[in-house]
Amino acid sequence: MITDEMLYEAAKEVNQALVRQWEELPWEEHVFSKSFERKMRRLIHRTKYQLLYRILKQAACLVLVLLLGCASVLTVHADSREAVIDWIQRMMYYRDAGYLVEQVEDIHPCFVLDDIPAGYEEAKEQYLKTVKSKNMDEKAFELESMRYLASLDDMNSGIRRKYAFQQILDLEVARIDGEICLINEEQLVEGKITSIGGAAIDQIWAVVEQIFPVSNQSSAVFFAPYLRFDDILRLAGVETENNVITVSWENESEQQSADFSLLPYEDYKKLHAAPRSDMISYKRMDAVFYLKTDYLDLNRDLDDVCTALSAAIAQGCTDVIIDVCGDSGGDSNAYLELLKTMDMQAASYTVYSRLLGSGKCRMEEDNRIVQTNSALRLMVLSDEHTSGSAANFCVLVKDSGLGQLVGRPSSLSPSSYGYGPSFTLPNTGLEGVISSKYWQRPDADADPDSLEMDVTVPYGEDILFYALELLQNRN
Amino acid sequence: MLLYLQMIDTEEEKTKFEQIYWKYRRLMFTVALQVLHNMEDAEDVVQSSFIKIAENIPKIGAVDSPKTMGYIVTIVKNRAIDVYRKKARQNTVELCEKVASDTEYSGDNELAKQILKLPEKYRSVILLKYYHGYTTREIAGILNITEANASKIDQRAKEKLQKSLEREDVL
Repeated sequence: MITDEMLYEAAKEVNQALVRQWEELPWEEHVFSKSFERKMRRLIHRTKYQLLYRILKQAACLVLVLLLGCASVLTVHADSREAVIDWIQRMMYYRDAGYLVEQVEDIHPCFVLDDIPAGYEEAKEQYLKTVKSKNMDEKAFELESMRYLASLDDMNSGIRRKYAFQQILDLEVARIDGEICLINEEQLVEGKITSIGGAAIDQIWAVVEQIFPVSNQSSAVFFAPYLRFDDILRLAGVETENNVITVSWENESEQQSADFSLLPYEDYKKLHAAPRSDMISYKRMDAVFYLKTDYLDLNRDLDDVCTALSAAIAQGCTDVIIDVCGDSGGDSNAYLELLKTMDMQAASYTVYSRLLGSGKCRMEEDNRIVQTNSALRLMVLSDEHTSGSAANFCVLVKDSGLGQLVGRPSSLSPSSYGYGPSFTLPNTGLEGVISSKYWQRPDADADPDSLEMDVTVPYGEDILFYALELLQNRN
Repeated sequence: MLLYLQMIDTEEEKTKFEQIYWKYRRLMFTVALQVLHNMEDAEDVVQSSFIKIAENIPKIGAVDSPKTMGYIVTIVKNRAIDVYRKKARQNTVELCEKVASDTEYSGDNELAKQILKLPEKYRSVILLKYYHGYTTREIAGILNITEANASKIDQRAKEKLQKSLEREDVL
């Protein structure tokens, strides 16, 4: 009769024999496929956090038991109570941080397109390390999460702020030629800002770059005004208690300074609200058809514009200016409709969609054939506030050779990430969006990060004025 | 303090999985390829085996130990055989017997010799139970079979061993 003891002994011998055999085996010098490597990277990552969650859960249970057991001590000793609460909070934030990292790496296409930004890994490590080791409130956690997400260099992935900025410094700034400048009421440059509240402007800008996805010159221009927010100033070491902050700037080597108020954001918005404009308007100026858009949709307004544009062309109009400065976008098909009215057709973007839960991307290509119209001269005006479909429209015009771009590039990169599912962090309930698609500009060889303008208009200059002058000189 | 200890454990375990991955992935691929003769299938098997290893990582001992190597090869080989079975059911018996008879043993433990002659699944159950110390339920999870099936295999393996030893006049 075989006993368990005999089996224990024999099994040990068998394992030794097998190990000897496996060690002598010539192990295949196999180069694993990219798909395998990607899956394994994901698995290693997941394992790390699954283990962590489990351990944290166990730890949380233990704490609960300890809490109940030590309730009497905790009710008497405030310090102990505080330490335990801090500890539980840290665990909760750490769990959310791990969840966020997992979501990002499971959804964002950059991880399967070999396009992981250079600073991403470091930012991730720093994020997890900070959340794990530092006591913070939910607002601070939110800022840390923004800092981490900023490392994706993607303007469409981020947190929907639960703790919106409360105050803003009441002054106008713009980033011009890499410098933060003070802008006066006439939109003219007063000078280069050197410090705010005693903190050097470089120090403040470094915080902006950490918190927001500043990845190129256009996004730097876009995010420059954000340096006025209270949280950013505080993170840069500016004292914001008394609501008046001294700003220093230099103009042709002359140093100047003045006090500016820190206003509640709602008050600031009321004070500086831009006048409401029509979503779409047009004007006929002799042989020029000028169209201004703030948002374009497939609706009756667009039909009216297309009819007017069509009529103008039929009556001999040879120049069309489409002004998308400040246009926040809309339906991309609406912009294509405008081109169609001018007998033009643009090339299409190549879209890479990350297949959820997979290490692959699906490529979608439209292969539209470019159609130009030599009888018409198209000029598209844009600035750093042009975004969404309007920004894409500029790229299509440029890459398809349909017309001239005049002004300043959009803060959105010509090839960019976007359109993704939203996420909710399990403990804090913070919400956000992670891009799941990548739009590659039609000219795949062109710079994916910046759109080159045919005519660049300096900040503070009237772009339409420039365009009209160009037309006049051309004629 | 507790948090720090927990974090240290986690780091160790993370390192352990990664160490296992880098140390054994080639061996695992070799074992899977021997069974399947197809690189893509072998990679799939290695990957799914790592998922199983990840699930059981807290129970795995030192990365370099013969026990860990034995455990890992048991998983990958069984998974490879499962895949092979799905693809070519008619060859299963021959394959299992062939795989089982490959190992040389020069010791004098007769029972060990007979265990080595068992078909792969039978041998795996014996090793997982008597060498690695897993329960029947755990073995079922590792080998992707039902608990009842694992129990039946265990019982049949022992019956086979009993008969073999009787035939060899050892018992």
